[in-house]
Amino acid sequence: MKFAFISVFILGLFSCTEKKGEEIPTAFREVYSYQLNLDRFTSPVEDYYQYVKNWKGQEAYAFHVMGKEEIKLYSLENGALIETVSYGDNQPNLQSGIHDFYILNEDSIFLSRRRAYKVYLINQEFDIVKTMDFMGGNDEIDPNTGWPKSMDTFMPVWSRNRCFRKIGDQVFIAGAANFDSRFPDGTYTKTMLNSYSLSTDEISNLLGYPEKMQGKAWGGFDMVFSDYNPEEDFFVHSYAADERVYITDKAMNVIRDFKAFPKGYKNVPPLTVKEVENNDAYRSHWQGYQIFGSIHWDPYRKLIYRIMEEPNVNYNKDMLLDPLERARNMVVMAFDAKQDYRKVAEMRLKKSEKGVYLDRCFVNEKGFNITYMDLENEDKLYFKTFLVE
Amino acid sequence: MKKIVFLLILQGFLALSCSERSSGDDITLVYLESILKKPPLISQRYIIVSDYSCLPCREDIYQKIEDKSSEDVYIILALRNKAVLEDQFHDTILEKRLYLDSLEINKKMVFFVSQAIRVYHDGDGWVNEQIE
Repeated sequence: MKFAFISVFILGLFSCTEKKGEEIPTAFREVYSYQLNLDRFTSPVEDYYQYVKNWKGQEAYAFHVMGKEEIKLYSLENGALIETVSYGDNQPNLQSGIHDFYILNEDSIFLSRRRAYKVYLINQEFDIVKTMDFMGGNDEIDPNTGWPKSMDTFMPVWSRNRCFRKIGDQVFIAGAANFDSRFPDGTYTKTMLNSYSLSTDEISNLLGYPEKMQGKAWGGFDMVFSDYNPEEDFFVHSYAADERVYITDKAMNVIRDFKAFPKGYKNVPPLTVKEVENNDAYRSHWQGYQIFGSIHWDPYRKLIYRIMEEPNVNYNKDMLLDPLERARNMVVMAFDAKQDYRKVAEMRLKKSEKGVYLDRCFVNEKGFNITYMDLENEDKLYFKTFLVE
Repeated sequence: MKKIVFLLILQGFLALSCSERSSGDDITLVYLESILKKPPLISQRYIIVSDYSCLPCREDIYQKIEDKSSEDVYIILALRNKAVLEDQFHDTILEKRLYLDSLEINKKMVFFVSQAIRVYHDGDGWVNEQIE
């Protein structure tokens, strides 16, 4: 009797799983691989990088080599170094402190001096043609916190796949809030994505946390990743601890949102008191849960790609700024705009002793390209190209 | 008999206090010795910093290395970009005031620092101090 009951129970469980199981109609297929031949000064894991669709007629990938104050551009076609933009040697006011960069074109490069709350626009003669000041005339640094006093002020940061776009005379720029992410204060601000008018210098805070995430502390999950679709004029956003993807207009009004998580995803809880108070527990919260990463609009195939990284179980707590130490197994998902954003493909990319995939991706005509680093050869960097078929 | 016991206790105490000061028992000193290829000098201060510590944490230290104003000996471990550091601190490396752990000895010894540390001998023993 007992056996029959258990059997029925187990059968019931299986049938439930079957009903909930999602059907994914297509799959990712690797179709191509790019290889960059890095010079001795370019690390394959530079913190600042960018896909550049057209640099003097060539499709390129750029790295900011900090310490050298140079941006190096490599050809995606043949992997060779195309050009070194030595802004530090050529512009006396930019010899140190530059972090993020964004290449709009050969004559317009944006450089962020984060800790000065400034972004500079330089031309190809290395003249500073515009200084964007994000500190604001009325604000000042609070000596107790080291951060600006105003809740509206933010540090201009767009590394790690955060957003920088120039649309018309406006720059849309990601920001880091002036708050410790151990506490919920930052979740009430709208400084995750901001606009800056190049004609009037007006700054607007546009994007905050979804209501359900406000008032809680998210620790290492305090990020949003965004991309922009210029043809249909909308943004897509992926919060690190939110299963949903949001589509918004330029004012960040939500037009549409949909569930976008892989099989087996479990919601990330906010920080507990112990995780707030204890450094090791805090890091363990960040590394111990699945975390959503970058999001990409594919204009060629009308798809949205979203990355999710699996928990990182073996990490060195003193080395978490190292991208290789942070690298996790990755799940890549594709959602089809033509099918009401239905998930149409999902794949898992595992790291191994030979190499790791990194959440440093771009879309081009060939497909969705994901960075792959060969751990046995640091002079090369690869991009594996995937298509949904 | 009492004398022997006293001498034994004294010997034990001395052995213990010696071991606190000896490079053989402190992973930091063992690490320093592996990098310097000789025991650390009592008259010298050493600064150990990770290239993966936060930027403000390492910025001041790198500035001091670059200025050549400091008489400390520096060790940078967990290198982000060995070539850039070699280029930036070429002279200081030649002067043996800076050592780059390009062989990742720290990893083999499971020795990591997230915040820079200052290592020096205060007359009684070796001291490890976190640099704020």
